[in-house]
Amino acid sequence: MKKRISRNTRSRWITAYLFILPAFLFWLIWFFMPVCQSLGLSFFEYNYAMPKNNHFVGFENYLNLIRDTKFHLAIGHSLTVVVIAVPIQTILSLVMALLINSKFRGRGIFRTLFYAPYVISSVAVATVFIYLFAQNQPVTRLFARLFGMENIAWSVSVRYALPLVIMMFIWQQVGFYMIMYLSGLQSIPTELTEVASIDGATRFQSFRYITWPLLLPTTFLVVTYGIIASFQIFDQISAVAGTGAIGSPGNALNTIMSFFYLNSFRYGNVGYGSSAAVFLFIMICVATMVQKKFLDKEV
Amino acid sequence: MNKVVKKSIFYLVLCLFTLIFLYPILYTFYNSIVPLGDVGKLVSPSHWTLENYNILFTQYPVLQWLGNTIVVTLACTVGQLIVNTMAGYAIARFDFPGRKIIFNVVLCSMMVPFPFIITPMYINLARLGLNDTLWAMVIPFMYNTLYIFMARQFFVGMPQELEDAARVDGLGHAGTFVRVMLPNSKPLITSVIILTFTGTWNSYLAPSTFMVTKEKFVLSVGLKTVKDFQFEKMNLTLAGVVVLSLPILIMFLCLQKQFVEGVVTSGIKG
Repeated sequence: MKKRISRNTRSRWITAYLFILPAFLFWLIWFFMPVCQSLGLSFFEYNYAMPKNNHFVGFENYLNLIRDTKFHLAIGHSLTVVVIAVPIQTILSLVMALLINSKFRGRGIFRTLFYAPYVISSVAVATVFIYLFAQNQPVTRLFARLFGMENIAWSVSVRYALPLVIMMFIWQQVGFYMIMYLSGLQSIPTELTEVASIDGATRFQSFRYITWPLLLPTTFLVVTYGIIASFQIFDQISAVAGTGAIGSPGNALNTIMSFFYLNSFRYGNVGYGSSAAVFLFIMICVATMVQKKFLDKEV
Repeated sequence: MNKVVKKSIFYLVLCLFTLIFLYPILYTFYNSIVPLGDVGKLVSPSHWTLENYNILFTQYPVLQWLGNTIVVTLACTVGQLIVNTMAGYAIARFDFPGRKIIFNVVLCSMMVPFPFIITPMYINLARLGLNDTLWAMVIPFMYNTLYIFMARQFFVGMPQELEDAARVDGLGHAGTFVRVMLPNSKPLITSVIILTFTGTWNSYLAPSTFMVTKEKFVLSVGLKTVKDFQFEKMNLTLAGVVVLSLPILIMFLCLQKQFVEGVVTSGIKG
């Protein structure tokens, strides 16, 4: 009897391993190995063009990275994107969610409209925005009149290229965060705010003391997702650069992501590029860990 | 009075947002159906034409790009669906040595950003002679730890009776999975299909890195080259934008509820 059970158990184990095997093999070859390689490459002088010259250099790539003024610029640009894009899209998505969550006819249509940009390709969105903000286009003229900006093509302007990328990024992403806020709002029992209004609380007070605190976990998700996505912006930067090197015009779009890509794939300087990728990874890991910490505390 | 003011502010803000979201979409569709001379002007429908689309499909390998995109997207979607649901099912419903470790590995892997592994991926694909082939956009993208996690969460919630009933009917493990578990996991399957389909269709970083030959491009990469080299022909490029976006938009409009549910389940992964 005992033997039969153990055989049964063993057969269950084998079945389980067989079910996991395909995923495991793909993960091993196309994830785990590349992760190790990427870490390893960052300690090598590694170039596609001169494979004979590849050799171990220890921390040299990292030391060069710290001294590289172009990399400082890249960090500055990446942080600028995060600091500007994340608060704006968090506030906008919350406002949109609150708008749609109030009862009025046809709210489903608005939800669809606001979410639609998120499902389409970011290269497509970037292309449209490049034209929207071309010289003499209605939008460019509107911005010139309202904010005193120059009526020029934003995508080739060193001053305006980064704001352009931030705008197209927010326009595309904000619907996604709105959906997250909507599902957060729907989990708040309506009795809470109803009781508050009976007790004489204003709409603002009931938002400030009931809705907002209950939405905190959602906000942490939205913020950390926003940070992670902002650090990895690539498609839009590539579209704006056009035929130029990624990061163009000038160094205006030189972010950590484009710095890494430029070194690894344009200059063939894979070791150096990989050390920048490790840096990117660490920044994103820190953001994710902070998110986990907060969520564990809140939920 | 106060109520009227509040109502008007509400509708004003709503209209503002609507304008911001609607304008770029209308701008794209409109400018893709007018001749170059009429770009940026409002002209009567008699000027409207599909000539841009005609030029796009005859002078560029757009049909080929579309075909490549469809092949790659379908292959990835089918592969992801099989591989991830199987793994998620095993982690959820079987007790075996190493289960906890595997689950933790799944969780940790979700934290690693894709750009971090793209360089070695490219090197390895080149070593295998797979770069600049459609395989490069399929083989490395046959699994996704996020979807394994989603599948695991879904199967954990399935009632044990379902499995027991299948066992009584004489089904083995594989039979139970294929005949009982999968038919009862429509929400999971639609979420994974929608997320993989849109993700692959829209992907740009990997295809633009791995592919060199123009004929082997997918639509997103192809569109970017059209934009780069025909930048003055805004109507032509925007027709390309429509070709790239319309299939996904139509799919989204048909399956809105499922799209939103997919976002919520994948978004709140805790």
